[in-house]
Amino acid sequence: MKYKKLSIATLSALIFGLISSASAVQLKSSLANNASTPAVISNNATKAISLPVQAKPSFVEDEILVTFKNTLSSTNVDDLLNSMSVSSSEKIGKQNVRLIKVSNGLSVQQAVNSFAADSNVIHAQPNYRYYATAIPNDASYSQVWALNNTAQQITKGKYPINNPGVAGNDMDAELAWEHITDCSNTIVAVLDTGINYQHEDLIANMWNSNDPLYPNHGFDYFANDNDPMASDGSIHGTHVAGTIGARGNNEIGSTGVCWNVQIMALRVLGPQGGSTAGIIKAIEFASDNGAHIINMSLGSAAAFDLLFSDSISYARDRNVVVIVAAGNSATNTDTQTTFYPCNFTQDNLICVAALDQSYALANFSNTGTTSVDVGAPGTNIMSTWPGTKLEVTSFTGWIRNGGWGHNDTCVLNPAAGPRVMMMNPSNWVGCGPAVPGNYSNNENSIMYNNFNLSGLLGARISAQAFIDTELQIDFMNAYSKAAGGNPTNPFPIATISGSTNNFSIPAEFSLEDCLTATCTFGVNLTSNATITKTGIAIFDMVLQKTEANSAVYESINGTSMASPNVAGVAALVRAYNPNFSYQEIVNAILGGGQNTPSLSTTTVTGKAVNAMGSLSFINVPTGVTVVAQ
Amino acid sequence: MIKVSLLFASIVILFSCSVEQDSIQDSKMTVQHKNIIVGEYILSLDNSISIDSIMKKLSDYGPKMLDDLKRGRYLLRFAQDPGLDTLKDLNCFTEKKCTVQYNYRYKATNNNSQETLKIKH
Repeated sequence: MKYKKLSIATLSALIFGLISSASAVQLKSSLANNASTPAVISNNATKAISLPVQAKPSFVEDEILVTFKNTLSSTNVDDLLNSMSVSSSEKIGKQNVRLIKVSNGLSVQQAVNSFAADSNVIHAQPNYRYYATAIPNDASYSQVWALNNTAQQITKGKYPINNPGVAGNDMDAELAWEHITDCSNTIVAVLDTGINYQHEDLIANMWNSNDPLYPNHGFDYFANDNDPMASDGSIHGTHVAGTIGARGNNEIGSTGVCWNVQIMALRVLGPQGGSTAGIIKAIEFASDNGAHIINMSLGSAAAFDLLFSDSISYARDRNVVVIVAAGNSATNTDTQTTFYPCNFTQDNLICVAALDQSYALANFSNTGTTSVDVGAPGTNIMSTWPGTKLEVTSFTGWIRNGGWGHNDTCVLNPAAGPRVMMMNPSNWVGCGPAVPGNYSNNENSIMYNNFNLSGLLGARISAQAFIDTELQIDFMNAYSKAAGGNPTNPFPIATISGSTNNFSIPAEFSLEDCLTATCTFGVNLTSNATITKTGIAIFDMVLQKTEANSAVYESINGTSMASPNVAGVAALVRAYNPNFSYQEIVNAILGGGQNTPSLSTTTVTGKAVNAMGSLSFINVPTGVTVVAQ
Repeated sequence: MIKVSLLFASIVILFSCSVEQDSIQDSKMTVQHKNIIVGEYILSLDNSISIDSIMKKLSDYGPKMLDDLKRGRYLLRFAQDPGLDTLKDLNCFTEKKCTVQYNYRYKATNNNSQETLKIKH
């Protein structure tokens, strides 16, 4: 979807401008009037322009309202209208206003102009149409700025810039919803970390297979089983799914771009990510099982991945549109670091950058005028969450031995505030002790705690970690044990070694094999007899639960969050036009976007995706031939 | 940007999940390793080549077939990483009857880099 797509979009915009009211006659007339020689247009052009996607008319097509001067009596007005051969009129209200039927082949605009020029007339205007507004009654709808930006503060927003933003910078979802909210004829595959398909706002919108092999709304290509539940406690896939299709107008929770849709859950990512093998299987599964749209909020700065690319083509050959995230490294994916799948060039793939609430480019978003197609809301995105999260507010009571210690008021950085920290050594350098130390030689010690995870569908520990150990010699190991007690065993959840060079990094530890009342989780440090370093410190620890009937909603940031906004719009377009090809859906999204200054030199189209614009976008006529005579 | 660069440099030498622990610990880590599953490769074979014959040729490296990806594609893990170049030395490559590539690693693209902190000294 790169330069080729731009040229199509540009061409379509030009043609769209020429055929503003989309009539074949007008097109023919425009071309004839602008050509130095007469031209003819083949019948194919007429056929191509007769598309079903039209915005609702904004005024009654053969009526106008005219306000006459008060100095004229009703009889005077009737006489005047008779002299103008007006076929019928109706007095409206108590003022000297008439509803006039336009005739004699005049357009509404011509009639308005004609009456406005008359000295007896104060005002003339179309008889505008008004529609019931499509505003969902979901409890937290007002927090979903991507759908309706009123310059509201996103109360759970963690992206501090432009919160609140600028009213009106949104995807014009409410305008689109006047035409369609129901995408239930469309299947959107979410290739991600798994979905809590039991979330209260998702359960009604999950895809159901007729094949008994797939009883749980999809497949898990990470664990290779038929349950794509977010069993490792990941929040990502559930959040992405809600942006596309949290049930709309059900009075609870959030609102998806589509109020009703079929979400196919395909888990391809685990706590440390996923791989080519799982992703290509999932793409092929989606393509072979009826998916119309695939969302992949994932990526890698890997080299060109031929098999991944082939699978995008496989999807294209089955008329599937693929929406992907641009990535969050604030780099240019054209000139600095490629980021796949964003950099793949198939024309069924759209790569999405993230915008903030003022439609400025998010400060983390990747860009690229040949690789990143469009922008969409990607900061402070409120959506479905797999379950409650429990912050570890103190390490007091954790069982510990060896060099482990804890500090509930460790000040890493005055601006960041004190942190609750577990660490080895107990006089870890980052908390500013009077005498900082290194961990000991021949250490093999653990610090752990019990967590009651009974009845959960999944769980994980997320934290930030500073690590400085002798590379490949001394290790931090994380363990869990379902039966309780010291969790040290031969199979750590994660093994980490090396140095983070004084910076913290995120650490994720799945507890999916530990969903019991007696689960223990802990971190151990092993060292050999030589060379010690400054050690390990773990903070901002959160236990994230995946719960049945979760009623939790949170806001997060990322191009991961921008991509499903576009996938939702793609589903709207496809649902409205079930016979659209992938090319027509892609053209509608790229061509129907809103010109946005922050994207003009950072993306292919320079546009932010717009639901109403895409829905009403008229595709480029195909098969048009213009013959000079 | 300095933070980001250092963060990436750090991750390279760090995380491994339990399923790939052995291969990571057996390998010398380089920058490229953050984007691949070390020791895992996907072989694509045409109909004239059997995966069994390939595994036999590579038996010194301890191959294990993790998954049949269909359409002639197989995910292999090696106890001892032969490296991509060794795999490309197979006869089937010169005969253009097979291809091989890394099993690349992909991650979710939610943004949490702003949560990164630096130790105050």
